[in-house]
Amino acid sequence: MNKKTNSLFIFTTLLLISLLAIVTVLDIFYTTNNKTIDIKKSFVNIVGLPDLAISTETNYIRHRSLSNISTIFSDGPEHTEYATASFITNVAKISHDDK
Amino acid sequence: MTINKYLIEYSINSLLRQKSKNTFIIIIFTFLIALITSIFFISNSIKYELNSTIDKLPDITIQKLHGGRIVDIDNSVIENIITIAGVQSTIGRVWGYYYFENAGVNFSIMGIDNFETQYTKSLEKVIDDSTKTDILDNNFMLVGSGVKKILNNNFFTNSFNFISNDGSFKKVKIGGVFKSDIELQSNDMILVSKELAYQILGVDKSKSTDIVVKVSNPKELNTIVNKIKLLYPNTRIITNDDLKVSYESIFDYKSGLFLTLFIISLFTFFIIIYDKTSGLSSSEKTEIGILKALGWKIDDILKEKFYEGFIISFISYILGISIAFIFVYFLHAPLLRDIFEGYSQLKTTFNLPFVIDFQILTLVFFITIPVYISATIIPSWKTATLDADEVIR
Repeated sequence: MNKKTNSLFIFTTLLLISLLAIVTVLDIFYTTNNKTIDIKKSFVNIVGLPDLAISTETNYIRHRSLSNISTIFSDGPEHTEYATASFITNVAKISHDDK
Repeated sequence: MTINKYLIEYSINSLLRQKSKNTFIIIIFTFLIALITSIFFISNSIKYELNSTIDKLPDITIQKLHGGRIVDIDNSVIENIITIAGVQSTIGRVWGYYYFENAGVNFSIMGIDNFETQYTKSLEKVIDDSTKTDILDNNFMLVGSGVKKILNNNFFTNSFNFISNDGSFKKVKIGGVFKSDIELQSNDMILVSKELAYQILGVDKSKSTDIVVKVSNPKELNTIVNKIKLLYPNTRIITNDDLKVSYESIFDYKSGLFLTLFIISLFTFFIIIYDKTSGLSSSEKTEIGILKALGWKIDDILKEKFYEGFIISFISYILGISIAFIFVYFLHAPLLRDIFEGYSQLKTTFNLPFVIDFQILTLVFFITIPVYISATIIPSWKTATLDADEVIR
């Protein structure tokens, strides 16, 4: 193998090794362990409310699964979509009609 | 197919001859792959976080609708529902939002029964030990770390004065802060006794915000839902399965900013592709002509072009994926995070759990690499099939 092919090979291998290293570090330190899941479950069990507290500016995003399509109108009939997160979150498609 | 190392050598030289152009392509390509995979990683981690606790949510939630709006439900409904065969327990909940004007944020307030006994048992698990304070009466609240931070910033370090629905002040002590591990669930939460929740939220004592039902046998769930529906047609019934469906469809790829990001990334990518397929530059054509005149077969030229395309796209792919991992999980996705969080002051640290999904990695691989390689090969093939004499001229 000549010099340039060699360096390309080494460069690609280094890239792959660093990707593997990143994944390993993430897997060890950033995965949710059973203990944390247990704490989360206890909390959800006590509170009983679905959805995450990522976006809290409107109730139809904070507790999206408990809101319905017309929830936005209860906030004020003049409201159109205005919260940034509402542009990416889908309306929870739970309706009493399809029961 | 044997790999001809001389062809690889030639491809590297060919790439190095146009160093600045190829570096630019690698940068753009890496950026696009990093952007697309970051969005996938974030939405995937959020879905994982949601699904990890879904089984602990109530089997059935009943809300009362009035003119399409959700209103408080009479407590008499609770007694009627408990009589339905198969229903294990029914609880009327009191919860809602409290707008804290000083900081412009909404807190979620939840009132729970038997607050003191729960506090000593199951709540023990979710409260950060260092924040616990000695509580003698029922007049205390447990808050999420986001709420605590906002209250601290507004000089409410030990207690908070709620303005209850009738306009009077209600001073409530801070009894503890939830652990940072559950920040994604608890950041904006305030847990108080049910009695206190009635006062703060101004809910009539004879009513509840909604009713949760526990079912003994999950197979009977649909029958029970139908029975409740028949008894109370003006209600909206949400089952645990509905929540699962709702969680699955949390992000709408068809609308809004997601679409914008996707379209921008894909269009930029396809502009590069279009630029490549629309034809080779005269120097590239001459190069192919000379190679043919020297005796290279079409096959060899295509192989060499394949190596070129593969080297660029593979390096970009690996770099893009690595950057996305670092960006989302180590740096907590700055800028992109704002799209998910919105403009509210009450923000989580966006500490997402790491989940590796090979489906996503494969999907991104197949929507980018083969397209780029074919965009490199096709124009070269078009030129390589012509006579060498014609191409050089």
